[in-house]
Amino acid sequence: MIEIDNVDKHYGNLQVLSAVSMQFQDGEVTAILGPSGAGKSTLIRCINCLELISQGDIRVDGMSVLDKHRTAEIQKRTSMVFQHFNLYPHLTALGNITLAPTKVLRQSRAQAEAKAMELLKMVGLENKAKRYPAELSGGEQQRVGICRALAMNPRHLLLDEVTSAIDPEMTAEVLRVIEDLAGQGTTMILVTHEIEFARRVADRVAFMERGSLVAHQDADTFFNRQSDERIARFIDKMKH
Amino acid sequence: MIYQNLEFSIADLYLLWRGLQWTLLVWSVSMALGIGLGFVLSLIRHARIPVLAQMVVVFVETFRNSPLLVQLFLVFYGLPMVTPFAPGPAEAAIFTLSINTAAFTVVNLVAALDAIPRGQWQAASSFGLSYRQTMLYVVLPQAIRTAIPPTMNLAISQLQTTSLVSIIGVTDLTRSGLVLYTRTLKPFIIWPIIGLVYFILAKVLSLLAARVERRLQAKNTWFEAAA
Amino acid sequence: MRIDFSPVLSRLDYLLEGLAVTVLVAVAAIFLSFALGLLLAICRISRTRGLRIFASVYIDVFRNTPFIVQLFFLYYGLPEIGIPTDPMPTGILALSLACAAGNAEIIRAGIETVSKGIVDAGRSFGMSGYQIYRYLILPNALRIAWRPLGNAFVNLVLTTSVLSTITVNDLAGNAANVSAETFKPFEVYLTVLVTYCAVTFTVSGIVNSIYALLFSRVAERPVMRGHA
Repeated sequence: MIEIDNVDKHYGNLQVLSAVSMQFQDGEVTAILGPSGAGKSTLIRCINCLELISQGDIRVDGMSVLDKHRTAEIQKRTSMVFQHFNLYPHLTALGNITLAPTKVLRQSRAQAEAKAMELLKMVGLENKAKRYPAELSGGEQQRVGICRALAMNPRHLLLDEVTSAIDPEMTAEVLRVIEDLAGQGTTMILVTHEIEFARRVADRVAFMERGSLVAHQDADTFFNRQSDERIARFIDKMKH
Repeated sequence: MIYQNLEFSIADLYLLWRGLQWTLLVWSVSMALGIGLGFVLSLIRHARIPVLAQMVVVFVETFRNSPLLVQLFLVFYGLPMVTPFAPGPAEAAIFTLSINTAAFTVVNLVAALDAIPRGQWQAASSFGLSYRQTMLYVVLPQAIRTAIPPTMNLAISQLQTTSLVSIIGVTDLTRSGLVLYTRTLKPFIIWPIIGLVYFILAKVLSLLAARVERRLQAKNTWFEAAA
Repeated sequence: MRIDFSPVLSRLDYLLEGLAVTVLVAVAAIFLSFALGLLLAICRISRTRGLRIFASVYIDVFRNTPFIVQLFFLYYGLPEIGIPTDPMPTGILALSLACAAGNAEIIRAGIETVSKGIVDAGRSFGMSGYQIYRYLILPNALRIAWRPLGNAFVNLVLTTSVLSTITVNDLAGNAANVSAETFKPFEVYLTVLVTYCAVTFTVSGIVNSIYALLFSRVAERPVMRGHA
């Protein structure tokens, strides 16, 4: 479980998150929606200890992100898939996936590679294991990015606008992989602009605007019985 | 008994001062000549004038890829044996440094010229501008602006390189260091002082270059805003 | 005024000995200056203030003073404090110290160019600071720095000639001796000039081959953006 407790985050005078509180239950898929600059990505980066929070607390399975000694453990339990993939350019797809498992989890090379091949097969890239990121398309790179995150056996998978840097004709292949994962009961928090996709996979939806949490509802209520007129307008606009 | 004066005197300061003057003279004259020559050679190279352009390439590669010291020896000791041209140390030094600097200038300027998009040439010729006019009013102003920072860096680093002219007998700063060293045998005093003078010169030049670059940058932003 | 290369040919073996010394000195100094440069670059951006200051002062001093002055300082200075100086080891030391400063700046620029994204990725999976440095930053920084480092190595090869001024018997030094013996300075120095060109072209060739071998498949393309 991830508990967000009254979190503030600011860069200098710029307030990015203000008094955000919510909980993510295990086994749930939560979509975080909202206009650009709402603080969605910052929130999941704070969960992953990539950014420090300014006020409040975030607990991942009971461990606070404020406790420096727990940072490594929290990062092992939460894996991130990045908007711009952030693959390691000097390593093959296989090397990208196995680096952290061998260095952080201290798995044997053979074990890590077997798992990596299994994951690559799942996303349909088993024949690209020896390719470098520069030799892969955007969609392929992002699927490798997902494998890299899954190879850590995370309890919580964090996805940061994973399709927004990919050519439109390649987003489907990435979304299909995420949909499969959702079907298998992986806990996921996904920041996205793909509203139709969120409707298909999300159990719950959080809506953020200007650093604040505006709504946190189950998906059915959010999409089909939306009482907030502004959110309804946003959903309507994003559909087209 | 040979009398050797191991102490420093006020006259030594004058020696250093003369050395500094020679260093600055050799440096400034050869930078001016070298950059000028490099400019002309760049135009030849960029225009791809047959034979001449290839000669420029061979010239540039030869002088970039061989030591300045050997170039100095070739000019100072070699030229008088095969040509009527018998330069003294200072002339040989300026001649060699100019040619050496020209070679590096060509690299910078040709890169800047080649970086001008073909579209600009096409646009200019569609308005009926001649090659000469396009070069003069469209291409060169931009290319020179790009080439100024690397050329300033080149000039600053060539200041250090001028120290090698002491080996063929130019009484520059380094030579005056050698003179003082052989007389006083105090390397720990002399070489740091000589080094410090070069250091200060380099810092002053770097400051000037940074100022020019800032002004250039301001102009560039203006150009971009206008575009 | 007649050009005659036969005296050069008669002393070819001696010139080749000089070439061997040049190559030896250059190879030794390339390795040393690279290792030292890497160390300095890491100090230069370290969190420890003392190391940072040391590295920037070192780099500043060595880059802004002429190599020949540094060389004379070491060669004539070290015996003053009781360290005997042989020309060749002193020359290699001076070259390595001097070129390390330039290499450090190149490597530092490489480190700073490594995209923040891959550091984020490493941190996000719980890699330690050392692991991120060792497995992510340095390999990419070296790839980025490789070509400029190659230019620096070529420069180093050319600078070896200055060691002849402290009586190292390298190519330039032996050339001066042959020139004095044969009274054919033009032919001797022209030959030697071309030989240096051959050496630097070889060095460039090796540098490029290593790049092609290690990095050709790695070169980053710009991140593809959606058409939204």
